[in-house]
Amino acid sequence: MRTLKALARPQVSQFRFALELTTVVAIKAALLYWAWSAWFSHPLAPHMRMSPALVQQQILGAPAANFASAPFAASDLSSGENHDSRR
Amino acid sequence: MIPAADVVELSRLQFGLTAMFHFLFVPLTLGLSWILVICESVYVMTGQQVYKDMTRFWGKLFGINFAMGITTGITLEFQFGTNWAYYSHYVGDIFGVPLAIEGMMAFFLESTFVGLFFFGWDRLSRKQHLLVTFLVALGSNLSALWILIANGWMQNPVGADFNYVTMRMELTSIGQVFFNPVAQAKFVHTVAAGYVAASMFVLGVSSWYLLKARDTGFAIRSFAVAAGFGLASVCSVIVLGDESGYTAGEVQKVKLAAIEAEWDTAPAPAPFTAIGIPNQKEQRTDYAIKIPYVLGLISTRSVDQQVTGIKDLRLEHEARIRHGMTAYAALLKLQAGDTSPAVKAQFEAAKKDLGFALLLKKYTPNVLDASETQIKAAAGDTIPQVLPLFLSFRLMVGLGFLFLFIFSASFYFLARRNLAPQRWLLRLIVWSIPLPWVAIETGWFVAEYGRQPWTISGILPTRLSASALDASQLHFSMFGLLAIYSALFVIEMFLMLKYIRIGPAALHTGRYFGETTNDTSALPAQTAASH
Repeated sequence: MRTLKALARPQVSQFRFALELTTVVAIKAALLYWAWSAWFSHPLAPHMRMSPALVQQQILGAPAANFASAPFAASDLSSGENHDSRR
Repeated sequence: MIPAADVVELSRLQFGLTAMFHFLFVPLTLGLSWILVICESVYVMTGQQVYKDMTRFWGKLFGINFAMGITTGITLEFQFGTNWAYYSHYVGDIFGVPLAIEGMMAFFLESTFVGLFFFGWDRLSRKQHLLVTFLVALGSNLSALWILIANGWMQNPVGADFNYVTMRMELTSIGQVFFNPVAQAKFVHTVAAGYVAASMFVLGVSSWYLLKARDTGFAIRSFAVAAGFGLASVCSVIVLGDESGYTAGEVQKVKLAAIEAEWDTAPAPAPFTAIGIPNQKEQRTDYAIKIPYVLGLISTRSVDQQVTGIKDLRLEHEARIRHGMTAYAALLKLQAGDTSPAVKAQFEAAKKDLGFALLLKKYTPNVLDASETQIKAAAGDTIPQVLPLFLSFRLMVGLGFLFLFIFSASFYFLARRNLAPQRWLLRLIVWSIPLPWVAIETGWFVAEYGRQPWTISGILPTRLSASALDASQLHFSMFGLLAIYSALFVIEMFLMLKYIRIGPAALHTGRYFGETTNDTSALPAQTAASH
């Protein structure tokens, strides 16, 4: 009986340790997801990219007067994803 | 809209605190993984069970730290898109590759092999398991490499060019980004600092066991591994820190001058201010104790090169602001549709100083109409606060030399088989466990605070990098993240202390303190130390 108990102990210990870590990781993932959805789920620069017009406004003060004519069309500015294709 | 100063400061504070919390976990993962490799290698070579037990026990502590630390850095990436949108856009083309590789490394390589490390003992051969442990260490360290490449680029933006169409920096040479000398020096210095932290952790816990005269056979071997690895690592940290300082002196002269409170350009070789109280208002260092020649020798590695002082650098930056204004004027024309070769040439000739002109945005929306007073004020902003940098750097260096003493003394007494009577040393080591983290955090403070007023050195001012968020929103998110991270830290401390108190008995092998009264591991420290 004593031998059986001794044999079972490492497995129980390993299981307990894994359970503790899994619980902590699960709680952490839930908290981080909550933090993301509460404060960071609407980034101004999704995928590290935003409209060059907004950047231009920040850097130069305001979009250039004839921004719509050159060097790219104003209609493209609503989405930052397409600008590289113009290069 | 350029955000208000308090919003920028709050965004900085939030990012800084999150990064510092994240970096409480990282060094132990970096260093402990290699200590596991060393212990397991000895086990594979000698077949001695105690080394397997060491690998498994320190592996448990590694596992706790890994589980608590992994993904804590993800909130930094959340902040990029939300709090630092303009910065994010500016660097996106450069950071995309290293951050993606880091993500792959962390989630696939590291996590997979950490799982195999814990659950593979009975399923893999000794050599296969050692390979897994090695890959855990390699994966952890390579993850750090990609992040530090990204950070190194912020300090020294090479291999990229500003595109006025997309209004962002674009990659021109991935090789230059990867082999950026600042990034390489930063990587080796940072990981070596992690090795020191992990060595001090193992050394400290082992010392505690020795002081308590428990598990001494296990503790003395762990102590030996940590002392050897720690001594090699702390020597590396000092040498590589010197290299890191040298590269900073090459490309971030202001940071070096601020760290050294070098107000005036002294004749070569410049003296090193060991102690003093920098006075930013009067631009002098009060009560300075200077050591002749040392700064010149360290920072230029020569006897005839000057170290430019803060006052001269400020004048240099005034000139760069004026030069940058011509780039700004050309950029306005380009954006207005005038893409003539003359305008392009004007922009190309001056665009390396565009960032300096952007510093004027703090004082005037019309950069081209900036007054002399505004130009001088903007040049003044290029000098970070000297006192915090001066003190933090000296604290970091002082701690580095304390670690050198501790590891040297540990190694010496261990080699002389005379460790057990040195209870003062064992106590000092136990109390020194948190100190590597203090040194590492102050090191990061020096690196990042010294980069101000830039997010990308010389390219993008911090003020223009931040999103115009509501201050209350930032308060909420900052206190929320602080609460989450504090809770994680408390849980980590609880689990660590729990398993440290249990000791190797946590492995339930029946050989350790608290499990049996008849084993050599419970011999008094003196006996085990002389084995």
